[in-house]
Amino acid sequence: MIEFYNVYADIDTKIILSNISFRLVKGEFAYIIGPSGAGKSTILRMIYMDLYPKEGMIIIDKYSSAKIKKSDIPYLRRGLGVIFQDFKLLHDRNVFENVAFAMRVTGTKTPEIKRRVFKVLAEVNLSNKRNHYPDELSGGEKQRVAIARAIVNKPFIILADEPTGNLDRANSYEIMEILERINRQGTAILMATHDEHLIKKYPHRMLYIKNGTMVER
Amino acid sequence: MSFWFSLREGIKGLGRAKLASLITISSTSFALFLVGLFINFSVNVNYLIDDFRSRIELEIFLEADIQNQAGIEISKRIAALESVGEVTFISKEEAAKRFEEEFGRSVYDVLDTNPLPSSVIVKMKTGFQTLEHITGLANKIYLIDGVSDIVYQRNFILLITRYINIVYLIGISSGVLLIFIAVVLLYNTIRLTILARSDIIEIMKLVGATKSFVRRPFLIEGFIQGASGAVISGLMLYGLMLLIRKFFYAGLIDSLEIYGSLLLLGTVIGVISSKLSISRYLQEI
Repeated sequence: MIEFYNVYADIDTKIILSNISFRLVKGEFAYIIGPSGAGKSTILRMIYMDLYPKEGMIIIDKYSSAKIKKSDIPYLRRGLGVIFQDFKLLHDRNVFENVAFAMRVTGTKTPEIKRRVFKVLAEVNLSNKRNHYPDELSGGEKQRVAIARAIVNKPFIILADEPTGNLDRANSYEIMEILERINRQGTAILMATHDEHLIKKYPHRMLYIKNGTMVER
Repeated sequence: MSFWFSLREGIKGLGRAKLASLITISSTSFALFLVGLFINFSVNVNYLIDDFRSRIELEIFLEADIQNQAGIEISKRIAALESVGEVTFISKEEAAKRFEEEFGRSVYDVLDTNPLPSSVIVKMKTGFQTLEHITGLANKIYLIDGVSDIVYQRNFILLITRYINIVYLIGISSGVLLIFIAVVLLYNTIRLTILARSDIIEIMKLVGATKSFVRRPFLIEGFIQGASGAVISGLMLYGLMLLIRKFFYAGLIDSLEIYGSLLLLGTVIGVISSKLSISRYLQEI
């Protein structure tokens, strides 16, 4: 489902990743771990084709980095859900609209949007906060909105870039529980983190990046 | 569905980046006001030039012994020439009458006889009122038997021709320059509104919006901003025209077409500037 073949990446001519190869199968949960600046986010950006490999090839679902057209990238991204440390919510829209936004841009009809958004808000325990604005929510609640937005289009994988980086321990566990539940329902999770405590509490496959190269632990 | 979403986003976008939208609409109004002023100036100058041109005429004097019937025949031959518009035959008697009207005394009181020749007054057809055509026509008329002299205001025509060219040159270059300034001004201010909403564009792209989908609300915003700017500039221009007519020059021409052109120009410039700004932004990120 996701395959990296001898991938090299650079940003502003600085080599970030060297000869990275790995494979992630359907429904898998894996961590990308490593120190800050190691290239964890770069791997995620390459999966949603915000960056292309300098050398090597990446295959995501039916798309290959060597052949994908720019006009196909939106369609690739509709099959992915992405969440970030800083949530990336729209502050002038309430919770419902933030989640519905991901479906509106794909041209889904309103009754279907309502049905899906209510369902995913219930899954992340935010049904009662659907009319609240992001500034009225706690950090954990904001991240749950971001997760709801990520899963509303039924992606085959969630890419999570340090999703607990801005949260306290209790909220981090809550987010991990939700991600575990989503994973149990068949959605793959690839999560970049450097939180050793979480990795121990929720053990999964680990892809360790150091000095631009990857080793499996 | 997605059109209504884009329309709603476009309208809401104006409110979300209030300051940037306000700056954009103000700049559009100012730029279009200048363009409107230029169009109005051009229309009025054109009207004056046409008025001057319509007064250009050739006075063809016939030989003294030409009788009225022969004079009428000569008039007909002149009227058949390509560049000739209106032709009026002035008989010797008519010339004497005009003399009396002009000088208050009969020509017979002064000279006993009427020495005034019969003549033909020729006005040029529209589009032939240039010195080149007039000289060409005069040369052809000279060849007609019975014509003794042709008088026309060569220097006046030369002056008009020279100034028309300068006015047109200034007019066209000012128009192009003003429209260019309007586009650059709008392009940059619309970029402000886009930068103010980079978060929404980033999220749209992340969740799989196509480039055309991302662009659409901004094009609608550009359309609304351009149209609003055009309406405001139209009101400013209308007010200024009222003042000029009241206090300086009552003959000033003002037409609905000018305001229609402003509205069309405003919306087109708004949409084009938005398209350029958002396309460049999407290429950058």
